[in-house]
Amino acid sequence: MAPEKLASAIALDPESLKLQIDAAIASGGLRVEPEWRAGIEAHFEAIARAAALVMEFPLDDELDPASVFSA
Amino acid sequence: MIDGSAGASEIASRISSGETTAREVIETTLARIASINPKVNAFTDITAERARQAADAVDGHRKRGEKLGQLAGVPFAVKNLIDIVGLPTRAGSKINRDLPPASRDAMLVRRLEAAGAILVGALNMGEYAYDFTGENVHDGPSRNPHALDHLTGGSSGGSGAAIAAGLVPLALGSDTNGSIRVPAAFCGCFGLKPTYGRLSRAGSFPFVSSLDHLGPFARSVADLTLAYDAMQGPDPDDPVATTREPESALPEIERGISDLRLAIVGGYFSKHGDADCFAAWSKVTRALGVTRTTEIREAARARAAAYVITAAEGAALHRDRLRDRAADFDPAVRDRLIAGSAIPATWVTKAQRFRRWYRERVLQLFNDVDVILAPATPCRAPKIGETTFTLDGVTMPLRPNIGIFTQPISFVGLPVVAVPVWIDGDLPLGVQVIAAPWQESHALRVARALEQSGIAEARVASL
Repeated sequence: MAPEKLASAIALDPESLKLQIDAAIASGGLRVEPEWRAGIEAHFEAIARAAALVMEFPLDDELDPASVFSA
Repeated sequence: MIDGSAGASEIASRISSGETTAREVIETTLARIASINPKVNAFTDITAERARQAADAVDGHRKRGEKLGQLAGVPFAVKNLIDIVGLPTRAGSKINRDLPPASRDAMLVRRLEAAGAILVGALNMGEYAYDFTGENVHDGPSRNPHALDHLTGGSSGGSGAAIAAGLVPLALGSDTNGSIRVPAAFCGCFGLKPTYGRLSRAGSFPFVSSLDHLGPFARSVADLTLAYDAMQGPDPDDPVATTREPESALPEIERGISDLRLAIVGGYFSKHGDADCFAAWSKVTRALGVTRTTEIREAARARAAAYVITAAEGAALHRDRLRDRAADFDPAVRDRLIAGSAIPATWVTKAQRFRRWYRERVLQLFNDVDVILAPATPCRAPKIGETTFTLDGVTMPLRPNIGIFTQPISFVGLPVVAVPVWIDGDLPLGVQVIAAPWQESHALRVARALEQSGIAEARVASL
């Protein structure tokens, strides 16, 4: 995959994504077998691409998060 | 004799009239499960003795002339993330089987039983509900009763299979991003994902708290509504359960739809599906004579935000299990959860802030329309074991993308009835009938109109 960055400045290049995964594995005390890595990296790339869509969207600073959600 | 096509209201009526007994219904149901379940793998647990005792109690009430509930003697089963006293709530996992047995039934089980329904078992599901396929590496896949080598959809795959195979007339499932609507579509049954907060989730194993819903499956709109009405009510044990008074929908469903403003949702929902998907959708909208079109702005971004929140909350929920027992997960779920653990907080918070923005825009749509119609799945049920599919010329992973049309709707908690539609002799598809928050009855009325006209139909598979 060619390195690329969206306006959101989420780094989508493979090395940046792997660094984030490595940090999560280390800080979470996870034991990851080598054969799991390809699947984890593919899923994280999909998540990062989704997040890039979200991060590039302009929102007012005053907008509250909906983490306690009501319909 | 009750056969597999009998609905809940028919069974309750025949027991109340003395035409049959609850015990006879339960024995017939247990025999049918024993005969057919090995083909469809819908059940993971069968609570036979509990069911027999409950049936005898119903028959005793009738003999004594006591008033019977609206679901008296009706067999039902629940996705195995819903607590059943005496069983560990496995939630489709290997790991949870080591939990102590549940000490209390989930609230929705208690409410259905209070109406006279009889629990007969627990149903297969995708591990920890992080799934749209109905496959399960530990228990084997649930199989689509209409084509056994095809997916049921998930994660409530056993619920869809049990209904379509005629094993029970009522089942419960959960829906975080589409896990009721997808199997309802693939298996050809009715499914209701109520408004977020409408039905208590107390006593169910969570996945993503701010997206989790529970709801019923059935083969008719009346049965779906009977079960829904029986399960409404406040519950302090679920912090997001509504404090609104129950709003009975059953008296509403025969009202017709002439006063409802219906719209087709365009834009995002008119892409990303195959020809069969749009043929089913078109069949519904033509039958209803819908000409108005509306658009849910930023639906793709809403799906993306739901995707991020799901991955992050799911990873946080399972963090200790990932650390201690990673090898015991279904690999397909484990890899997604580990990936989710790498999500920065900034992404999640932005997704939740976007959710607020999106919610306000979606609610504005309902100033002009009452019900929105959208496809449920982008295609019919793929074959078991398939890992990719192609939409609009793009090949993509199957498992995360089956919910492409369901995620933008549940993201803001709207009530949806998934209605089954058949466009030929092959597998069914589904259409989402979407209403404003707390207006389940609007969606149920449209579903009922489609059922009455023969456009929506739940069939029992020949097995």
